[in-house]
Formats: sequence, structure tokens, C-alpha cells
Amino acid sequence: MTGNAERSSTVSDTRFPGQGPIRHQPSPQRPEGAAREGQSRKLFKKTAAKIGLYAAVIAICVYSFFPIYWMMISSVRPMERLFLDSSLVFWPPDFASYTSLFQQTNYLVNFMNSVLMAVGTIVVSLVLSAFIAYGATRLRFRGKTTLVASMLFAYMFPPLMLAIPMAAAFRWAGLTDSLWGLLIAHLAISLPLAVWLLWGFFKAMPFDLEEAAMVDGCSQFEAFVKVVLPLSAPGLITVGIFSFLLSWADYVFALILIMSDQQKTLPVALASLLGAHDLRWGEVLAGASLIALPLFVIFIFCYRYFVAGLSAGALKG
Amino acid sequence: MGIYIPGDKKAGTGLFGLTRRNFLVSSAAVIGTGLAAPAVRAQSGVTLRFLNNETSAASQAALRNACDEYEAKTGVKIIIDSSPISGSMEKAMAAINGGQPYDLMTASFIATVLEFVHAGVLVPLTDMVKRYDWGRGAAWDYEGENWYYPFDYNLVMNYYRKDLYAEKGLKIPETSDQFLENCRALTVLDGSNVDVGGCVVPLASDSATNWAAFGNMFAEGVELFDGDWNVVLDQGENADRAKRFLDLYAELYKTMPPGMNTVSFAQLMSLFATGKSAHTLYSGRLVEALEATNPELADKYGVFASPGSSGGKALSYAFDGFCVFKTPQSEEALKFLQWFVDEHYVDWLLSAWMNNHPARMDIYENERWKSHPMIQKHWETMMTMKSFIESDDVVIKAIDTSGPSIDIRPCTVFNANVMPEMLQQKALGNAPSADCIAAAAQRIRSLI
Amino acid sequence: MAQDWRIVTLFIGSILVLGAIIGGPLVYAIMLSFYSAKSFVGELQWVGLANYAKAIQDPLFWQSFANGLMIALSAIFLQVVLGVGIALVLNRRFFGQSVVRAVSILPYFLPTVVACLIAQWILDPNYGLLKSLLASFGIGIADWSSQAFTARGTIVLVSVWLWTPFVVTCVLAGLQTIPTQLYEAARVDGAGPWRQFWHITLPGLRSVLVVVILLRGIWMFNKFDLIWLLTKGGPLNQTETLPTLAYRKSFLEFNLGGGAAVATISFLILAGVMLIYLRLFPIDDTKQER
Repeated sequence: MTGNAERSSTVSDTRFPGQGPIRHQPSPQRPEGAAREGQSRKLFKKTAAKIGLYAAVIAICVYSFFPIYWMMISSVRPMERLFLDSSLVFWPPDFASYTSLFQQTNYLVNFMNSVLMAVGTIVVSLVLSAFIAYGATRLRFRGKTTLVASMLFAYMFPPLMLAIPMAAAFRWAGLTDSLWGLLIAHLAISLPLAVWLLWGFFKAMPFDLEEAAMVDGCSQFEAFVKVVLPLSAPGLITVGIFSFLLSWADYVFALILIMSDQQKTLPVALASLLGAHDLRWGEVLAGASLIALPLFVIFIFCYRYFVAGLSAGALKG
Repeated sequence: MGIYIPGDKKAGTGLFGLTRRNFLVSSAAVIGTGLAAPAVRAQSGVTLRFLNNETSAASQAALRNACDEYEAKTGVKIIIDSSPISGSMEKAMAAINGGQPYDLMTASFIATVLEFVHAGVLVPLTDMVKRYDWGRGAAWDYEGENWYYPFDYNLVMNYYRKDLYAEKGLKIPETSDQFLENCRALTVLDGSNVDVGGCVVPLASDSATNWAAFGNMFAEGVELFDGDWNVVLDQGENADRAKRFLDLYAELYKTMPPGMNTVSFAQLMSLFATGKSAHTLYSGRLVEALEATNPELADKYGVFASPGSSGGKALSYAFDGFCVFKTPQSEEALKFLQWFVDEHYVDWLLSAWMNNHPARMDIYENERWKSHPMIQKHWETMMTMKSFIESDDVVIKAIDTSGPSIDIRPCTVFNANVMPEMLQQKALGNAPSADCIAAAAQRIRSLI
Repeated sequence: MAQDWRIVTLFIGSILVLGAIIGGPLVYAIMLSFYSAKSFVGELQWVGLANYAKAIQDPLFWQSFANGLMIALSAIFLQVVLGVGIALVLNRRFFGQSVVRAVSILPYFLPTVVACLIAQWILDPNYGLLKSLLASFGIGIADWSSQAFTARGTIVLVSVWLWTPFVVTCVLAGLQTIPTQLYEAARVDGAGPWRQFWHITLPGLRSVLVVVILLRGIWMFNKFDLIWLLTKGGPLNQTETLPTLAYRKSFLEFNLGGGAAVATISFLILAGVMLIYLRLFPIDDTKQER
């Protein structure tokens, strides 16, 4: 990771005891010998701190990554040894679980459904939340704060219970068992957060920039599109990632709103493998690994924008 | 605070090498085409929707083949959706509530079928069913009609390991005490934990527990209702019998491997197949699972009926069968089902050769069915299973068919998981048996 | 300055869409709580507050509320403590820092379903890794799903593993906003790392933590999928929470009105708590409001 992450680390290193140049200045009051002794003690303390730091870092890595590793390594374990063997590494990998997964389920179709939902949710959430958040920061009307606060309160109703009225409304609209309906449901869970995050972002953005553009002859709309949006890229990406995560991980709405095998998204398809007559842990773990992998790829591309967006606007100090 | 000076503005536009506008436009296009696809589904002619909960690869393939053949012959297209057994009832209900009911489904419990009959969403299949001879109880009717076309019995039998029985010199138990003794003798402890269980009896709040856990209770002669639908579970003799059953369960529980609280259909089989339990409860499907995952054990198992304390024998059961829903296409669905049971019934049975233990008696004379190599191999077990349904010595009962007649009330008890919760009170909550029984009876009274 | 009509139109249009897809179902769900139906396809009948009366008279309702509160509070507490701790470590400079930061956030990107499957696979009392690991030390594994404490603990553990990275990311971002000079000044005054943490870092993270706790609080209290996938509310309703109770009533007992009533009460409680929370810890620095 480079960019902001790097920048922040260079900021941080002068801040904590243990690395900064400050630490090397001996106290002027102390006599020579004590200073030398103090320095070797300091060296010892510094080494100890370093060891402690690396131990903590390794612990964090193992804690965060080992369960994921275990899922992936189990998914390529030969099926007959899956329940008996708990070796951490082995060779060769066996992809029988993957083959079986693709033969027995509509995994690729489910995967495409999940991708469609995620992309749709990102795009629509971004567009709508940008308009709303911008309006809520720049337009003059009563009840702005109420509007933004209501975003949060909309989140407090158990999301699952919104699925029932939605199912009824979709029936009326002919959207039963349709990905369009599911898209609407995913928007319902992603939009409040999107508006709320972007609102914080736009609010922190100085008005002068748009005013300058408008003095140059832009309309407010043009200033919004040409000045505000480009400057908000990190915030928009953060919102995009949140929308993606909410949609990609959704189990509840897909479970209730989607019925046919052809329309299922990945989480539901995966969970239904477990409820069957036969225990298919091999296929389940293979499927789970396949859900995780694209996430990690996307994550490698987007991580730094995500962090940048969070630090820049959404969580302003 | 918080003024952001974008240092890497390019990033916003350069993602994946697309400009933002291109990216938006192309993703919109992708979504448009992807979402439009389902709408094209309505083709000329009839399309039926079939919810299948027999999700083994062979059964899915058999159904798919039959449907393809039917489409080639009649032009009627059949879309098959699959749902695991746990959840297929909810899914069918959601479809009805969503205004898109399925035309056909496989149902695994009378509790499911009656819930639908009660709601008035099924079409009777009486004529279709009446043409054949059926095994005990299979041709049950409600309000004078038959509501589904069964294809198996799903008798819950006790499986035991012949090799382990021989090793320890055990005999097939005639009473529940002997059964408990056998389970204790076969339990392998690892410290204070059970490493290999004496038996497994499911405990979770689901249909698997309702289906499999109460054989010993029926063998004890426990009734939930009397002849007038009064709840008698906690009354007089029944209370004593139920208490004996719960006390037995608590003792058996100590010989079970850990995790009973989350055990469902699949684990009942896999614990036995992987040698983690010396007994288990299941239908014939376990034999298929053994052949597929641990063939060695497929020669070392035997089956017996659940014993009661004074030597009574009982088996729990749940017919699997086909239902047809009341939709504008019911006529077509009935035609398809008739064709399917005429032409493909045996194929379908053989797709789960041991699990689909025939409920239609003529099948036992069917040459093609009989000559299936795996049925030949396990002929003895198949005949034992047949003897269970023909013998008057064995009680065949289920939670959802308790009471004097087929009725929605025991189905409500089944679907609300009252009886599994009674077991949990005993095994997990360590409550006195009488309290568990009283609570369950109270719950039943409040439900019906 | 005149308001651009396009901005106004798009704003109003978007608000209407938002209102339709969230406000509509929300109002309908609350309305449902005043109705009752006999079977899953039955006609709805107005029953007034009967569903509410039934809900609050049900001991299971209060037990679920207490369970949910306990699970949510312990999960949030651990997420925040662990999140701040990990962020402080990751804020130091060390070899491979950027890679480790990336790895530490990975769990957050996993769908809940996947995290639950991993947990079940590792914790399986018969075949799981934890079992064989503990067995090699001669320790037997407790059957986590059969005891209240371990079942709740597992839910909390999985939530902490899954969502702590969110806290880490936010806190790391927050740490960048604390002026370095404050630490330098503190060091000149002879303040040790501990005092620096209490007097500079923590106050500096206040606004971040207020938001993080608010969001995580809402999410945790309404958590359904994780609990349903792990325990289904068992054993003996010890992990039943208001969302799972609402689901059970609506989808397993076909009591839509009862489920909606539970959800509405849950909403009111959460909204009340959050109103008080926002009074105590206002998010806005009003100086910026124009």
C-alpha cells in the first residue's frame, strides 16, 4: 500500500516514543556515566519494544488471516481426508470439491447475480446519495438536520422486517422473485449510510471552491459535477465500497425475496448447500473461498481509497 | 478540520482504466441486460414451476431428464428450483405470498402438506392415488381427499455397527434399557468428553428432530391427544410414559458425541459414516451415504426398530411425496404428474435407491426396481424395512400425525417445534422430566 | 445566491425515491403490527394494539431483549477495545506495515455467511480444528452450541473477528487527525506513553469513536443473519434476540402482525437509546453548520 497509508506512517513515526530522534537526546542534567548507562538501557528497552511490536504484529496477522487460510486450505483437501486431517500444509491440492461445486450448483449464475446486484447498488446508491447529500448541505430549507438524522433512524428498524412489506409491494409491482426487487432492497440498506457518509464529506468541503467556479460562469449544477464530485472521489469510493459490501454480503433480503435457483445470489446459494440431506463441507468451503477471492482482489485495488475516504470526510474530527 | 486536499485525484477517474463516465455507462448496460433476462421467460406455451427438495445429484438429474423428455414430447416447459429440505416449506409459502406459487413440489412432511391444504392452496390427487395399493398409512386422506402422491416412507430406523456389536458381544436391544446399555458399552471417552458416541438423537429445533427423535417415545406408548383432541401428554399414564422416555433421553444424551444441539439431517448421517457414533437414526439414505463416503461400513451396519421400556417397538416416519398447487395451470401440472408417475416413477425411486423405500406396494414386484444392483446388494435391509410397514408388532407413528385422525393440530405442534424444545429442556436445561412435559403440554394447548 | 433548479429537482427526486424504498416499507411494516392473520395466506384483520400487548407479556420477548443487549454490548465493547489496540499497533512504523494493515482488514470484506461457515468449520465439536488442536494438549472441547455462555460467546467472537477491522480503519484514520505537536509537547512535559494515550490519543479519537460506536451499536443490535446462521436462537432461546424473534414469528409461525410488533418495539427502544446517546455525545461540531 502506498499513498496515504505511507504518508500516515511517516507522520506517525515521529509521534511515538521508540523511534523519534527525540529519544536520542540525553538529559542534560545527568552525569556522563549515567547517560551512557541510560543509553544502553534505552537500547535494551528499544529492542524489547521492537520485539513486542513485531510479536503484536504477527499476532494480528495470524488472528486476521488464519481462519481465512484454514477455509481455503480445507477447500483443496482431498474429500476423504477432510474430516480426519488437520495438517496446516499439504501437497498436492485436490480441486475435487470445486469440480463438484460447479457440477451440482449454478455457481456461475449465482456469481453473476451477485455481481449485478453489487454493481447496481454501487451505481444507484452513489448517484442518489450524492444528490441528496449535496442538497442537504447546500440547499436552504428547513429540517436539514432532521433529514440527515432520519437516515440513521431508518437504519434502526430491523432490516429483515422491511423485507415483508417489500415482498408485498413487489408482488403488486410484478417484481416477485426478481433481481430488480432485490436491487431495490439492497438500495434500502445502502442508501442511508451512503447519504450519511457523503453528507459528512460535502459538509467538510469548503464552499469557496464552488463559489469560485460559479463566479467563473458555471451554474451550481455544473459546479457540483465539475468541482465537487471530482474533489469528492475518495468519499465516493468509500461509499461505493460500503454499498458493495452491503450488497455482496446480503443474506437476509436475498433469502426472503428470491426464490428461483436462477436468481439466487451467492450467500443464499452457499447457505442452502448446508441445509441439504448430505453434508457437503468440501463444496461449502470451496464456495466460500470463491466468494472471498474476488473481494480480496477488489480490496487490493480499493483499500487505500477506502481509508482515504474515511479519514477525509466521513469521520472528520 | 477535515478539509481534504485530494492528492491522488487521478485515482477516481482511472479505476480499472475506465473514465468514470464510461464505467457508469457500461455497468448500467450490464445491469440492464442481466436484469432483463428473466422477463423473457414467458415463452409461448405452458411453463410449470417445480420446487424440488430432493437435492442429491442423482435425484436432480433424474427429475431434469424426465422434464426435458416431457418438454420434447408436449412442449410444456418445466422450471425446477431446488431447496434443501430444511426451508422448502417456507420457500413454497413465500412463493404463494409473492403471488407466484409453484405448480408442483416435493413435500417431506404431512405437517407441510396439511399446512397447505388448510390454506386451500392444493389440488387433490385422489384419483391418481386411488389407482394403486399403498402401504400402511400412505394413502391417508383429509376431508375425503388425497393431497399428495407419496414416493417413500422415510422410516426412521436405528442403525447399529455389526462389527462393534460383535466385538463387545452385544445383542440387538429388545427394550430401551438394553438399548441404553449398548450405547453405554460402545461409547468411547476421551477424558471427560465423548470421542465416539454410543448413539445420536437429534436435538435442534427443526424438522429433523421432529422426524427422528421420538421413536422411543412412541414405543413407550405416549399419546399427545386423546380421541377428542384433548391434550393428554401430561395426564395420567401418558405423563408416566413420557417421563420414562425423557429420563431415557437424558441418559442417552450422556453417550452422544458433542454438538447434538446443531445436528440436522446431514450430521445424523455423517456422524455414523465417519465412525463418530455407533448408532444413529435415519432412513435408507444412510446406506447410500455409507456406500458413497465410507464403503467399508456399508457391509457392517444393521437396523432395528426403536424399543420401549417394556419391549414395544416403534418407528417414526414421514412420507415424501408430490403435491400440486392450485394455480391457473393446475390441469397441466396434474397431467405432468400423471405422466411422471406412469413413466418415470421407478427412475425417480432409483435415483435414491435406498432412501426411496416404496410406499406403493406394486413396486416391490417391479423387475427393474428389484434388479437395481444396489437394491440387490442391500436386499436384506430393504426387506426388513418392508417388514416394518407390514408387521403389526411395530408401531408406526409421527408427531405430525398424532391424534385420532389426520388433522392440522398436530401439524402445528410439529411446525412450532414443541417436542424438540421439550427435549432441550431436559438435555440442555436439566429440568425435571415432569416439568418439561407439563411445559410442552401447556404450549400445545396454547397453540391449538 | 439563487438555487439551481436542476440541483433542487434532482435532490427532491432522489429524496422521493429514497422515501419510497425505505419510508414506504417502514410505514407498511409498522402498520402490519396492528393487524393479524389466521394462516399464512389469511386475510388481515385489524386488532389494534393486541400484538403489542401479546409481545410485551411474553417472557420470551424480554429474554430476547436482554440477550440482544448483552450480545450487542459485549461485542461493541470488545470491537472498540481491540480495534483501538490494533490500530495503535498498526500506526507504529514496522517492516511490512502496509501489507499487515491490508491483511488486518480482510475479515471485514467477508460476507457474514462465509464468516459463519468458517466459524462452524473450525469450532465443529467432532471434526473441527479447535477440537484436534485442544486434543493435542489433552484438553477436551466444550460443546459450544449447547451452553448459553459459549453460544453467546461464539456469536460475540465471530462478530468481533468480522467487524473489528471497521473500527481499526476508522481509528487509524482518526489517529492521523491528531496533531503531532500535542505528543511532542506532552513528551517535553515528561508524560509517558500511557498518559499520552489517556490525555491525547483517546480525546483525539473521541469524535471517531462516537460515530463508530453509534454505527456498530445500530448494526449489532439489529444483527440477524449472524445469529440465525450460528445458533438459530438456541440453546433454549439463550441467544434469541429481538430480530430473530421477529423472524421466527413472521416466517416460522406465520404471525406477520406479531413479528412486526416485535420489530417496531425493537425500533422504538433502539431509537430512544440512540437519541439519548446523541444528546450525550453530539456528533456535530456546530461551528461548521452554516
